[in-house]
Amino acid sequence: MQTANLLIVLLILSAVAYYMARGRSVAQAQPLGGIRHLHSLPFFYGMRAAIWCALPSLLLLAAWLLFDEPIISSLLIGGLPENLQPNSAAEHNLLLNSIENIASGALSAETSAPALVAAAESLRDLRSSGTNLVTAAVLSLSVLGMGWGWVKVSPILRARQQVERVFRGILLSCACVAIFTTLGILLSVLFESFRFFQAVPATEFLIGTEWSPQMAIRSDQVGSSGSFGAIPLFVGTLLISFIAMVVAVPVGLMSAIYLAEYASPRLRGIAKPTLEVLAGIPTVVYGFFAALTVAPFIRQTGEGFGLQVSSESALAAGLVMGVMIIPFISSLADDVINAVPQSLRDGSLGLGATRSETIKKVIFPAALPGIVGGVLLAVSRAIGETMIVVMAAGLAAKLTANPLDTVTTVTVQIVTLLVGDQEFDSPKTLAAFALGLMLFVVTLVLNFVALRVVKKYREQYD
Amino acid sequence: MNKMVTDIAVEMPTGLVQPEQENIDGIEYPKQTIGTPLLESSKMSMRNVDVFYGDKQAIFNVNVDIGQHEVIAMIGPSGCGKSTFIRSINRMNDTVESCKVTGQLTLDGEDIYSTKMDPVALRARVGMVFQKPNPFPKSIYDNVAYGPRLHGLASRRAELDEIVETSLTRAGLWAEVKDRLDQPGTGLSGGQQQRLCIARAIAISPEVILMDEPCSALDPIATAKIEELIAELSQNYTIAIVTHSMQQAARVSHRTAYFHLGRLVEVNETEKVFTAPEHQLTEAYITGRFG
Repeated sequence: MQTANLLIVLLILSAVAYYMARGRSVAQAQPLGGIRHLHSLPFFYGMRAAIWCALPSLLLLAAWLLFDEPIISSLLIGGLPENLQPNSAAEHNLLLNSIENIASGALSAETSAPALVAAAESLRDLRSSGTNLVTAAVLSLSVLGMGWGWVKVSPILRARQQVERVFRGILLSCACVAIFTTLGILLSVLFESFRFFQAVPATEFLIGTEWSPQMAIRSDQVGSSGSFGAIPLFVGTLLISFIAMVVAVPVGLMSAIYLAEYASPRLRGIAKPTLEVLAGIPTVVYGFFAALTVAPFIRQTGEGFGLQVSSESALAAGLVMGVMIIPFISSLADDVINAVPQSLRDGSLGLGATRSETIKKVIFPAALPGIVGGVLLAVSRAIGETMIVVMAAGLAAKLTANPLDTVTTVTVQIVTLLVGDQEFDSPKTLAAFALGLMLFVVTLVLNFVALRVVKKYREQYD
Repeated sequence: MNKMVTDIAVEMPTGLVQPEQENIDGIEYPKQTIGTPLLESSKMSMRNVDVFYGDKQAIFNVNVDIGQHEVIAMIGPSGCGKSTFIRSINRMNDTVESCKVTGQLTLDGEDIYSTKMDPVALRARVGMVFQKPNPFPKSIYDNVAYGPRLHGLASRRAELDEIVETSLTRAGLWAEVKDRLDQPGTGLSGGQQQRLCIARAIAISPEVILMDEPCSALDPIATAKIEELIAELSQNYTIAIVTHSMQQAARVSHRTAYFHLGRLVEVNETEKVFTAPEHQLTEAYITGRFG
């Protein structure tokens, strides 16, 4: 039976198990004088039977789906004659592939080696018998579980505790998904970066000042080695992030102070959602706004002053990125300022302080740790931001602090390194992983520090 | 509550003065506040004060004087408007959007709610101590120095040091904190925090100090210390204290005002209020029949 059909059957079986066990618990409660004489509510008895019916068989099915391929292929290869046994992993895969192709009819059986044709035959047999076997096992396991769930129903059975333990386990495994995914990504980036650092020394990557990852195909061509000094990328990233923060921090903070302390509830009710709409604009829209509107405007204005402005200036990308981050900072700061207890405001006003004195001397210092945390989170967003810089910043890795010049960022380079068809073992593509690792580490540290700061602040008033 | 009040009316001991009453929602209120609400000379005087929160009226036609260097206690059941009333005295209610105060309130003859009166300057003259200790998240020193710095009361560091020391001494906290002035005020115990807030309030030498249930969050020992302090402070300051504890009102105040559902029922010498209340509502409250 197909997996999907099997799942539907399991679902139906567990629904049946639920109603049967639930009915049995109610029936058992009847002579005792009602369901309050049961240890748990009938729902839990039903749920317990449904879990017994579905969970073990689901686990068996999952195990089968995970391990059927390796088992079948090792059986196949083991069945091949001595002279066809593969010598390497690549050969092994090739062999399996051709068996697979013969079995599916993509490769003609007549032109292939008879041993392989036989193997293809047995592959088909193994597959179908394996599926039959597993269907039978899964179904009988679920019927057994259903029976167990039904038989065990009794007024003293601690069904609620058991069901809740299972649900806690499910919640835990959901939490683990996010953590293990992050861990998996980190490990894969780590391994690929390790391969990169085998080709390019870490010192060159970390302190080199020249970045030109394009490598010639033949070693006698110009630029055959490529150079992987990431300093210009980091400087470019920092320059654009710095410009973004110069725009976003003051504007965001002041708008937060206005909204939290001065605005009437009506204005606040309108302004805050409006500001948060800004956060919902896709960054690609900001990107073409930066590239098509802001950058030319800055170029014209700058040339009006007789300055030389690149048409893909860091300033344009930074400004637009700053605008993108304003709602982020403003919304975080607003929350933090609102969390400062009213009693502190009263205390200060009661001492004859004006509103602005109260904000400057009491509320802002009290909210500062939270604001710093919010700003750090915003910095890590700016560093990781990709779309705006891809569209508005340049590709040339220039080591400069001039905001009117063109710079490139880590994220832009990762995109350009990986766009298009690439071979995945050259230092050029592996460099993307190394850059990704750096980005990951920097944002991780920033987020960690920021969250610690925010948390410490929260404890102060709770 | 209405039922209780009818019971009381039945049990009324004969011989008490029966002034002109008006019946509102089944409760007999005196038409005019009983006792001695008005004084010949006063620090602050309130006439025909009504306070509204939006459409809801919280204070009804209150007339009372507060004398120079007097401690007046305001008692009454929860929700009777005591806090609202004292928050009107230094215009703390300005921060509440929907709150409206009418009537005439004066400090040394100056109208508190006139357009000429700056609420900021007023609050420097009429200080306030709140129900829950609310030290700023700053050092003990900076907490006390906050007001003087705002109002430029000290031009040199030495002067500021002196203000901080005298304020803390007056608040009875100096001996306990003199070695750790640079530590955060939030790290003190509840009672110490409240005394710190009192020190902070007296550091700007206000003329009147309003206290809104200053001991409700404190243990009995800390409460006793604050009460001693109030007695000492009354030599130099005019104090209005809202309290839920009748014993406290009896211990610290010269006069006591009894509020009932937004109306000022009776104001009298504290001793008189607690031994021979003139109105049956006051009597019912102090004998513990509601509150």
